[in-house]
Amino acid sequence: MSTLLEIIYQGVLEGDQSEVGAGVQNALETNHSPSEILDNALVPAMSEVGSLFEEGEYFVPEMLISARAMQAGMAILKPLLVEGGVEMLGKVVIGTVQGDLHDIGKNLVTMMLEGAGFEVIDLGVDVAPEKFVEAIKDHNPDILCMSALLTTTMASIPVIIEAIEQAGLRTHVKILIGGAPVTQDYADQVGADGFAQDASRAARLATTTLDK
Amino acid sequence: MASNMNSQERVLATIRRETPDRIPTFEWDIDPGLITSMTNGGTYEDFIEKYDLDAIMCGPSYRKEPVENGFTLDEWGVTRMVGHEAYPMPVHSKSPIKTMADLESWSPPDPYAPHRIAAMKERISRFKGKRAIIVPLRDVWSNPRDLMGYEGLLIKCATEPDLVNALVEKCINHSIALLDVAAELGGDIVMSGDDIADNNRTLISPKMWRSIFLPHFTRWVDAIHDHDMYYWKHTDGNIRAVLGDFVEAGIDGIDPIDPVAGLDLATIKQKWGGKVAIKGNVDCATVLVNGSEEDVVDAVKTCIRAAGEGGGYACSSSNSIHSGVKPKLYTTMLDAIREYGTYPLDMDRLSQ
Repeated sequence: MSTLLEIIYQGVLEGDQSEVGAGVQNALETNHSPSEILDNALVPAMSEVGSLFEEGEYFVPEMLISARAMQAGMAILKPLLVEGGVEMLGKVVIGTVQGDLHDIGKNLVTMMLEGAGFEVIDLGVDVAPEKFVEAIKDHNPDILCMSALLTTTMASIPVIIEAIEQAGLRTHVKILIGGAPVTQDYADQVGADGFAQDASRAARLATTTLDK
Repeated sequence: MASNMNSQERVLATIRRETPDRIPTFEWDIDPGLITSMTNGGTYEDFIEKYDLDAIMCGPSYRKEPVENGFTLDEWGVTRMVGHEAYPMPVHSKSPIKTMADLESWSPPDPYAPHRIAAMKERISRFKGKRAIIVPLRDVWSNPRDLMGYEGLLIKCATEPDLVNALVEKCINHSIALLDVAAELGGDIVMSGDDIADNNRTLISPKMWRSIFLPHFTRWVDAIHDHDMYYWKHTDGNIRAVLGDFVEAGIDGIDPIDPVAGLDLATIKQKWGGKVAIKGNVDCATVLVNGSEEDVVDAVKTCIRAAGEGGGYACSSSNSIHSGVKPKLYTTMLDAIREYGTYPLDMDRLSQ
């Protein structure tokens, strides 16, 4: 890794927004391509952040500031990546299910997915089944992620999966679910393709799901 | 052990870790819709009496008003999206405190405002001496979280700990001022439900918790005891890493020993039961929602076997009686607690 990419990588690990923004600018000016910066600095840095989180070194604040620093770099790179026709790793539609207004977990998953190189379309909170269906039609994502924090709102998950089946779209998209009351057993029971217990594992699961 | 205790005596014996006549039961929170349906349109007070719960929550009231389509603004300056939830989360982008300048120009609501305590006073006077009066207040986490937004607080913990520290101080001073009111009106126990953990672990590192929040938490616990009340701390999640801090700070009870987060009632009782009373943990994510009546009875028996011996234990749901709990399963739980929870416990029967 070049010194400039190393600076960006460290900046993400330390959650230093301005260091990452300046680092990305410098790297571009010294002929590093946008995809090189993404693939060799930002994505590996967020992968390391995920590992540190899973190992119990990082907690939610450290993960949030790292993700924020990564986003500072992505804000500069994104238009260039689009302009250059560089394809992202995959496309994800994400939302908190109908009746549920909690968004911290969903936002963390969004940040970690972006950090893993996904394009993420965030539908927000309290998302109705028909909105998920529309988003699949509009964006043609590889993966749909849903979260529910409450036992009561968790019941929306099978309703949404049913709506996607009814619309004939179930085979078009992998469905991953998460949230406090959600378990692997529940994911199996409602016919989801996967479950992750935290944001870091969700990003890894999304990556491996693409390969299947 | 004593016979014929009333509810107040039963709960107070329990929080002192003595053996009451039978295991008390009460809930941190009960869904308003269930209250209405299970009392034929009655009130929370009617519910407590009808189902003979041993403690009643008597907390201060805060006003909120609709400000625009789908949002409310409360006395703290916090905006929330109106939804189906009893406790909608604040809207992060509208958080009133983002900087030290925001904090300096912000004041918490008047703790002594007449509307704050009117309903509380009436409820306490109705139940004082009969059932344990629990005053639900907030400790070090929930008010700062609402004022900065969830993400805002978590980020500021990492980037501006001095700002968070100053905010926590201002908020805990408000809660401590409310202790004057709670004690004067006749509160027996203070309970606070600030959740600082998810299913896996604490949201912030134990190191960060100890450096920013614990000193305020300790001051809070001391203030409760200075007002001659007990303190039953409630928090969801896997709190193993900080439970020792709570105990060291002097809490008298812990609730609800979250099974979804992998906490085991017997283990907690064994490790901490000599220092704190324990409340929990019939699983309200599964058993009280989708279980059979037999499952509920088995769950109650398991809880009593795990934590009942020697007293210092209140049996309840693992969090709250939320809108997904089936009324029949909840009443089955109450019946089972009374059936199997009389001291001395019949361990043979509990094991069948």
